[in-house]
This record gives sequence, structure tokens and C-alpha cells, in this order.
Amino acid sequence: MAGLLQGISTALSGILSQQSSLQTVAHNVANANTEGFSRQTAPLKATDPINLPGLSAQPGRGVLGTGVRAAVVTRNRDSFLDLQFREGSEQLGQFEAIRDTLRQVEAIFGEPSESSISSVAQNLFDALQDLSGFPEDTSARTAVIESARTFAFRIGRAYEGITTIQSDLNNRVVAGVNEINATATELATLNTQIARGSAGDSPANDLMDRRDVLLDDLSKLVGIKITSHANGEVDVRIEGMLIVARDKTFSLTTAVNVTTGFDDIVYSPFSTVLSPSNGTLAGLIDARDVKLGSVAASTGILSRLDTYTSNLIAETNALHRGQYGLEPSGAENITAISSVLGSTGSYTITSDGAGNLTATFTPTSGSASTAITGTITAGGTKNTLIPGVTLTAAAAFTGTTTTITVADGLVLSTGGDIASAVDISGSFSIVPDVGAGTVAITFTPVGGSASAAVTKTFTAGAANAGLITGLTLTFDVTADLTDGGADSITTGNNFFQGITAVTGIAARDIDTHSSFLTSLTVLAASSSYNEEGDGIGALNLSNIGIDTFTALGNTSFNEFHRATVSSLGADTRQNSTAADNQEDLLGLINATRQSTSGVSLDEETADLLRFQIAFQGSARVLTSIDELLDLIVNRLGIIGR
Amino acid sequence: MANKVTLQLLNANFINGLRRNSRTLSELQKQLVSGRVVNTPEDDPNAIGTILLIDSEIKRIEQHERNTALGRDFMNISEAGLGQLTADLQRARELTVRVANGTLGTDDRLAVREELFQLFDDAITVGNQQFAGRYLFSGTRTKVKPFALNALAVTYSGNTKSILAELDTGHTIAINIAGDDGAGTGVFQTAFKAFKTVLDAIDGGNISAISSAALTDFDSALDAVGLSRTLLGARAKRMLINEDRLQQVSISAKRFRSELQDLDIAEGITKLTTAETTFRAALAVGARVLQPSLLDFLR
Repeated sequence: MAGLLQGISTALSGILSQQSSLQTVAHNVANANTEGFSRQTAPLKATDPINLPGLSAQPGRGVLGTGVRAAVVTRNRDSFLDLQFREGSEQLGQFEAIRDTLRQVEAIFGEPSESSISSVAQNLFDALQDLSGFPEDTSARTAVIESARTFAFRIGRAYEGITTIQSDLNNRVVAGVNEINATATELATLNTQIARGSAGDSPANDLMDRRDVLLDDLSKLVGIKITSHANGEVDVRIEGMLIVARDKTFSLTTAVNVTTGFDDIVYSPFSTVLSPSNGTLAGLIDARDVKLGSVAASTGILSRLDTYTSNLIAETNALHRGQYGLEPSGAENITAISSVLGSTGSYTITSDGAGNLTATFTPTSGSASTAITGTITAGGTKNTLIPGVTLTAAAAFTGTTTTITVADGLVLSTGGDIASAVDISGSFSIVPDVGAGTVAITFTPVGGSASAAVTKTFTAGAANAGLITGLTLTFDVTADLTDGGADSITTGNNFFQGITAVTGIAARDIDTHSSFLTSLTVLAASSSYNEEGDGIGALNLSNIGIDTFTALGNTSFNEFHRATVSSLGADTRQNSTAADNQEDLLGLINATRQSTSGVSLDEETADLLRFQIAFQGSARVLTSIDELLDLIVNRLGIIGR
Repeated sequence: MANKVTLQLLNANFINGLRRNSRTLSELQKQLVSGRVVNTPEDDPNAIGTILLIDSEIKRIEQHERNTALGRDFMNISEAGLGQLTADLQRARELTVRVANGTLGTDDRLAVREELFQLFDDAITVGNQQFAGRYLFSGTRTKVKPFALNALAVTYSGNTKSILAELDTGHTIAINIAGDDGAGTGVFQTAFKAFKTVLDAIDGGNISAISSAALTDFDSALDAVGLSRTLLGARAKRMLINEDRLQQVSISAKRFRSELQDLDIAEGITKLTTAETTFRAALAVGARVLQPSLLDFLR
């Protein structure tokens, strides 16, 4: 039989347990808005009953309840939802990083607008068309040069803008690595504290919540794998590499990749490169190395821009070199090579009428100060005149025969008569027959004999590419060298310049040719020499945008650029749609997670009432027992007193 | 669906919804302000390529319209010059006929010779006519004065080439008449030859040459100038037709671009109204759902 005193302790256990539950409710309410907080509950459990032999009416033992106690405080958390949330957030981080980068590139390209690359290019082609209608006009020439400058500037700025984004991405990768290291340290500290807490009987719920928040944040940054230990500690791996092992951390560092010039993520313990496949970091690296790419590796937007620019420079220059500018006033016709592929510059050839030639060669890439002048008498040879070009006058110089020797500095493709030649030395003997309207050209290699000479006759003014592979020569034989005037040839100029060194990048360095700074007449708008009214040259240049080129995969420059913009748009859209979807999915997972772990104030208030009333009940029981004891102690057995 | 709905969740849903609605509103605002549906390549990656293509196509068409207009100006001035040349030749022919009679006295003949010479000089002036600094009749050597008189013979410094204007991609048309065609049948060439013949004949007192050779020369000169004017007329007609065609192409290209790129204002406004209604509803719902709490109803 249980005594009344037993009832006191039972009621007391009720009061204490409800009080503990109230404490838990208070903690929940206080943390209703704490990020990552999981609702805690302290489930009530009946205490072990006592066996009383006499309690049951039946023979045998009876069992009597002894009250209640609050069990271990637990947090409501579904680790499967955590896993889902982290996987989703890894992907979101990746999509967002790529999307944001591509949007910046879109803004740099500026399509479709009046200031976009395609508009600026079209303006250049239009200005060339205008020039073709009025090739003598200085203002039309100025307009072409100015729009070419704008175009070059626009391309250069675009390249620079994209590389700025790229180095910004690189900085974010480095910052991300630092963040991972800092988070790893914090995780290890929390691991220690949690293990210590679990060793006693007080589960470290709040510490685990804090650790979960850190893991959530980390998973957005980089894909992680988490494994738990029995004592509550966790290990964290990135791409299989341990970053946190219980209370220890293994740091990541960055090292500059010699090829790309950007930072690789390196796993310090093994000194191996670690490439994350998920998370913001993976997105940043993908955007930096693949989407933006590099010219050297022929990848990404930068390479597309450079392919466009370098080919445009090459095609425009090749066309421009074979065309003719305005003749300076007072100058006369000349008999000379008007264009030699691979050796570009301006030749000024003056003869004194007495058989003496003065030749000045100003290289295209050089300045006027590098021009070299030399005088040759008839029959003399000058091969130190210019490294690239030597003039040899014929023995019986009459003014109708000119010999031009091409020495060092001329790069020719192999094949044909030349088995292998980088620098070729030899002399071209050019004999125009004015009466027949033909030109005989003989090429005699320096090291060869006269029998190795190749001669070819062709019509004046025509070009002959078959004489020697790699050389195209165009001749104009309408005048001679005997009249003593100063003649100049303005072909051989480039339209654009840019590739200044071996490491030059066309898209970065593109500029209009320096000769345009001092002269507008060198702009070659005519397809024939000495025909200033002929604008076909400018027309040819303006058609570069719509002509197809094999270097661009048989597309035109306009098509090539349109394809770049289209695929950029499609890529951006794909990543932004994916990011939106992922955001929705995360929202859904988070809602489910909230419904498990979140704090509902209404629920807590209801609990509060529940525990409050139970507390009151227990207190009432205690009061009742107290009254009973009072009855027994003070009022029992006093009859007849 | 979640079995428990917390205030945090309601709050997150509310904010999410607001953010999404604001994004829609901002997107519609961008469209309505710019009047375009496609503002970045991302907006419609499929259409952007076509839009850029049509943009450059429209610019090309406008360019060809400009080329055509410039070419027509050049041809109109040339035509005016050739008209003047015709008048000169006709007057010169009349005078030649009068001289050919052989009935004129010496003074009269000298007067007629003087007038013929003035007409000759005028014809050369016409040949050296310039338009915006370019010589009209010197082929593609437009900076070179084509004709110079040297003892009744006229030297030609131009060439026989055509100045080409691009009317459409890949299609060019010659807009000039070269003074000399290199075959002796050029328009100014034959005219100057006729003048030289008649003046030589008058100076040499060769009456029979005046009536035969000079008149024949004038006739062939008038034929040549007539032919050139017909040629110019035919080309001008072609350019006029081309101008009309370019205008039509330009209109349809612009319409096509508009269909791809431009916003249907009515549709945009309707969408905006819908989006605004949704936005207001979200705000109103948020205000009602977020406020009540059990605490409000306890004592």
C-alpha cells in the first residue's frame, strides 16, 4: 500500500517535469526567429513504477505509478531533408555563379543596341560603303578611319571587360578557399564541443544547429560529403578529400596555374589539385575557365572574340594591302612591285634620269625613322640597303628594266619550286615590254645558278601567284623610272594593327594602322592603281562582314558574331532557368524542413497552456495531499479531547 | 504538404512571392519602357540571331538607298552636261550647214568660225565639269582634269573605266560616262573630232570637207551623245526601280524585326495590370495571414 508521502513526490515530479517542459517552450519561443534553430522537445516519460504486493485485489503484486520525468531534450530534425537541401543548394550556387557571369558578358557585348559590337562593326562597313560611293572625299575617309577606331576600341574594351570579370572570378575562388578553411576550423571546434556535450547526458542541440547552419553555408559554396560518428562528431569531405575529421582540419590553398595564369585549388596535405564538381566554387571555376576561357587554349567567349578579331584583322589587311590609296599630289606612275606578300612597307623609288636609282623602303610596322635610303648606279648591286629588299640595277640600265632583290625577312610558304624556306633570298628581275604589254619576271635564287632561275611572262597590271609559292606580285607598267620624279607606292599597308608580339592577342591589341594617324590617302579604297574614282576597294572591304571565310568555318563575320551572341543568350537562359528551378525546389525542401524543425508560435502557445494547466494540476494534487496530511496529523484522533 | 506551418515559413513564402512578383513587374517595366520584348540575348536566344541579322540587313538596305541616291545625283549632273553638249552640237551643226553653202562672205565666215570655236570651248568645259570635286567624264581618274585643248586637238587624261555603285549586295551599276572609250566612239571624243574637222576645214578653206566630212562627224557625234543619254536614262530608270524595291524590302524587314523584337503595347499593359493585381493580392494576403496569432485570442 502506497503512503500519502509517496503522492507528494509523485506530484512534485509532475511540477518539476512541467516546469522543465515550460522551460523548453520558452527556449523555442525565444529562438523562433533564429536561423537554423530546430524546435526542441522534452518528451515526458512516466517514472519507473513501484511494485506493491498488497495493491492488487488479486493475489500477487500490484504496480503503482510514481510520477513523471522529462526525458532528454531532443531537437526535431530530419537529416534526410538536410541532405536534400544541401544537394540542392550546391547546384543553385553553381548555376547562379555561371548565370551572373554570363549576364555580365551579355552587358559587355551590349546586344541588341546602338553601341553593341555588331552595330559598331556595321557602322564601319557602312562608312566603307559611303567611301566606295565617293572614294576621293577626305571626309568619307575620315569617317571610315574614325569608325574603324571606334570598332577597334569597342573590341578592345570588350576583351578587357571580360578579362576583368575573369580576374574577379579568380579573386572569388581564392576568397572561397579561405572561407572553406575558416568554416572547417569552426566545424572542428564545434565537433569537439558537441562530443564533449554528448559524453555527458546533455545533448548539444544548439551546437548541432549551429554546425548545421555552417554545413548549409558550406554546401552552397562547394559540394560536400558528410559522415557522422556515434558521438555526434562529423567528418566533411570535398571531392573525397577530408577537410574536417572530428576535431582536426586539413586546409586548402591556392596555387597559380602556369598555363592559365589563374589559381587552382590545392589540397594541402597531398599538394594535389582539387576540382570541385558542385557548388558556387565549381560554378566560378567553370565560368572562369570554360565559359570565359582563354585565347591561348582556344576556349570560351574570349577565344570566340579573338577568332573573330584576328581573322577580321587578317582578312581586312590582306585585302587592303592589295588595294590602292590616293596618289599624293604631284607623284607619278611607277614601275615596281606593288605588293609583295609577307614583306609590307612603302617603297619610294626615285631615279635621276641618268640611270641612278634611289630607293627608300619604309616598313609597315616600323616608323619613318627606320626607313633606309640607298643609291645604286646602273650595274651596281645593293643588298645591304634594306634587310628585306635589295635593289640590283641591270648592267645596261635604260630605265625600262628594274631588278628587285628580296633577301632576308621574307617568310614564304613551302612547296612549288622551294622545298623548304623560311627566309628566302633571291632576285626578281622584272622586264616590262611596254610595246607588247607584257612583263617577264625572273627569279634567281641567291645560292642557285642562273639555270635555277624561273621566268614567267604575264600581262601588265595582272597579278601572278604561280611564279613562286607564297608570293603574289602585281605590276603596273604604265610609266617608267626615267622621268626623275619621286614615286611612291602606298599599297602594302595594313588596315588594322594589333598583333605586335608573339604573345599578342588580337582582341586586346587591335587598333587601326599607325599610318592613318598621319595620312588619309593611304587608305586603299581603289582596286586599281591610279584610279582615285574607283571605290571598289572600299566596297570589297565593306563586304568583309558578309563574305564567308573558311577560317570561320565557312561563315561570315556577321554570322560568326551572331552565333556567339545566340549561344551566349541560350547559355545564360539555361543557367538562369536552372537557377530559378533550383530556387523553387530549395523553397519546397525548406518548407518541409521548416514543418519539421520550425517553431510555430501558436503551437508553442498551445503547449504553454497545456504545461501550465498540468503544472496547476500537479500543484493542486500537492495541495490536496497536503490537506489530507493536515487532516490526519491535526484532526485525526482528537474526538473526546 | 507540410503538416505544420510556422510563422517563419509563412514569412518566407510571403517574401518569396513578393520577390517573384517584383521581378515580373520589373521585367514588364523594362519591356514597356524600351518598347521591346527582347532586351538582352537571354530574353530570347532563338530570336536574337535573327534580330541582329535583320538589323544589319536594314542598315545595308539604307546604305544601298544612299548609294542609289548618290549615283542618281551623279547621273543627273552627267545627263545635264550631255544635254548641254547636245545643244552645242546641234547649234554647231546648223552653223556647219550654213558654212557648207559656200555663200557666206569672209567676215560672216569668220563670225561663224568664232561661234563654232566658242561652242567647241563650251563642249570642253562641259567635258571638264565637276560634281563635288570629282570630274564627271574622266573615267575613274576623277581627280584629273580630263580634257585639254591643244591647237584644236583635245588630249584626254582620264581613263575608260566605269565608276561602280553598289545597288544591292553583289550588284553594281556604272554611274559615269567616260569621255573616251578607247575605241574612238566615246561621246566627247566624237564631238571634239567633229569640231576639229569643221574648224580645220574652215581654216583650210576646204568647203567640200565641211559639207561632207564635218556634217557626217556631227551626225555621228549627235548619235553618240544620244546613245549615251539613252544609256544614262535606262540606268537612271533601273536605279529608280531599285530605290522603290529597296524601300519595300526595307519596310518588310522592319516589320519583321518589329514582330520579333517589339512589344505589343496592349499585351504588355494587360500583363502589367495582371502582374500588379497579383502583387497587390500578395501584399493583402500577407498582411492578413501574418498578423493573427493565438496570443491575440488568449484572455
